[in-house]
Amino acid sequence: MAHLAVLSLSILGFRLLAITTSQGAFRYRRELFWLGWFLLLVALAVALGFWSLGLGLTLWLGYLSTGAGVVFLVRALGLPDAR
Amino acid sequence: MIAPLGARIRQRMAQLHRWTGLLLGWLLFVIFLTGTLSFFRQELSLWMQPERPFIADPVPSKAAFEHAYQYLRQQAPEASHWSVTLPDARDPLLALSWRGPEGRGQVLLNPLDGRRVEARDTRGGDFFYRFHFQLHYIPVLLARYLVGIAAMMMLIALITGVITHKKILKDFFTFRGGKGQRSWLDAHNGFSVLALPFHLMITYTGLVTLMMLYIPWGMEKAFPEQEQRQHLVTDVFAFLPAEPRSGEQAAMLPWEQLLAKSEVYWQGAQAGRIQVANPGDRNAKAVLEANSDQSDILGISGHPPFMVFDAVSGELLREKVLAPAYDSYGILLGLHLGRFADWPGRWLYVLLGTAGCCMLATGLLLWTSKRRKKPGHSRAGLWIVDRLNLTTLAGFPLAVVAMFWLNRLLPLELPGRANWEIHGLFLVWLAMFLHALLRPLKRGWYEQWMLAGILLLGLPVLNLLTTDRGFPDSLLSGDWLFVGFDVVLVALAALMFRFARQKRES
Repeated sequence: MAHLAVLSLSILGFRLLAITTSQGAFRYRRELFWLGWFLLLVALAVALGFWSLGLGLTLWLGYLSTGAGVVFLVRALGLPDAR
Repeated sequence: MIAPLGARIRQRMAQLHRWTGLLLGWLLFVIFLTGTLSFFRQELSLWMQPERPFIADPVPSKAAFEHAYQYLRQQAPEASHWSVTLPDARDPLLALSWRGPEGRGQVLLNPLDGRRVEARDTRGGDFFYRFHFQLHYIPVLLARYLVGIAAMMMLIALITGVITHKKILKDFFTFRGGKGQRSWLDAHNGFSVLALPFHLMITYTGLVTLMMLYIPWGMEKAFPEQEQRQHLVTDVFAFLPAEPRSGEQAAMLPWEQLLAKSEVYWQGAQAGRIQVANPGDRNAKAVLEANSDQSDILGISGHPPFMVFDAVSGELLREKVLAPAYDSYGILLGLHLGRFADWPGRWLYVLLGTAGCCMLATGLLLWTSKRRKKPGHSRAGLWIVDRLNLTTLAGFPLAVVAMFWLNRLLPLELPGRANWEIHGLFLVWLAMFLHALLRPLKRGWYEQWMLAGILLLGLPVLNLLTTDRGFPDSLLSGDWLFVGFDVVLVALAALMFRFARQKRES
């Protein structure tokens, strides 16, 4: 369950970062950008809460990469020109 | 001459990145792929020995210990050394080994009834584990130096890659598909940057695991005498130095008592292995080592705690010493091995390892894609790199799948069967090299991806036909390892067919 929570938060956080750093104008860009970062921090808090410091940091970093990878792959497969 | 660093530092770093990446990229790909497979070392061994019975719930240590003790007492009473690896969540069988004046032996026991399990002769997942740091067919020491040089090059390539990448954060999610060289660059950046902490960690810790080999001078300076080094080894490793037998027989304490002592001392962590020197003698010693698969109690260290007992009186003789430098080394080792990880954590390691393979593959393909358009570039060099790319990036994974086929097809009574599985892998890889030389490049890629896809898709069928652990039976009995293996094989086959189709249409 903790694995799923940390992964979901990472995907959501990076998804927001990806949207808000893309080209094009839309409302609440700044707020969503910081919300993305905040979700990544929440993922860290969840990881540290569920696991010990060493294990939590290790798995959080792993899930950050996986979350970013999922967002990257979804965009790469879904959008021929993602930027 | 190397120009001084300055405004052109990025170009210099890019050059270094390109050449360190290219020269050892093929070797690194093979190391990364087999290293990634090693995270499922035990699971691969279980799949490659389908004769091992499926045991849903791990048997309690005490019952397993009793079976192990009885077997060793009857079969190897004169041995000077016994070793028992207990069943755990990943491997449900008891693994026993012994050595002594009458030779060596090893056996697998079913912990439920203590009966011997006859499994086919194979190196299983251990082959991939050993291969990723000491290769095969070449002297171990030379291979370890080669792997060390490759890992160092990888570290340089990672650092220079970060310096080279001007817009590392801005380009974080950029992918421009269907644009040839630019697409390869974006894919390379994606696989590299997104999993960068993992790539840096796994490369650095990989070097650290063999640091005594690469930089032995500190150790030699601090412990110049052989005796001092021997003392160090017994202090920090679960190792029993050879001691003579007293010649006087003595009854050993029941192992359950030693087990109970150690578990109290380790705050509930369970023992994973027991070794006994001079069993049945007054000089008998036993070392109990905790199972490293208990990160909630023991953390992530690759060096689990151990305790050495007098096996007759039960007196605690020594235990793992606490030393900050050694413990730091243990944590780095633990990070590299990932033995602390539960199954989602292990999958995480595999996914990130796969990202590493993709990073290396896209980097190698980018090199040729970039140079193909340069009119003045050496055609011969490009031809060789193209063929080596094909042989390594498509041919080696195909050869690995061929090894799994051989595991099911080779006769069980074939002498040296385990070695023939490995020879088979290299023979298929050699055949893929010849194929790459003889076929037109595009056609070669298509054919090797197709063949890999067909072999992957056929493996669950072959497993169904040659064992009683096929998909339907495994699904019904809840044997998720065999079910998962088949599902992954089909998914990988679909990926191979997609690669093949893309090559045909490009």
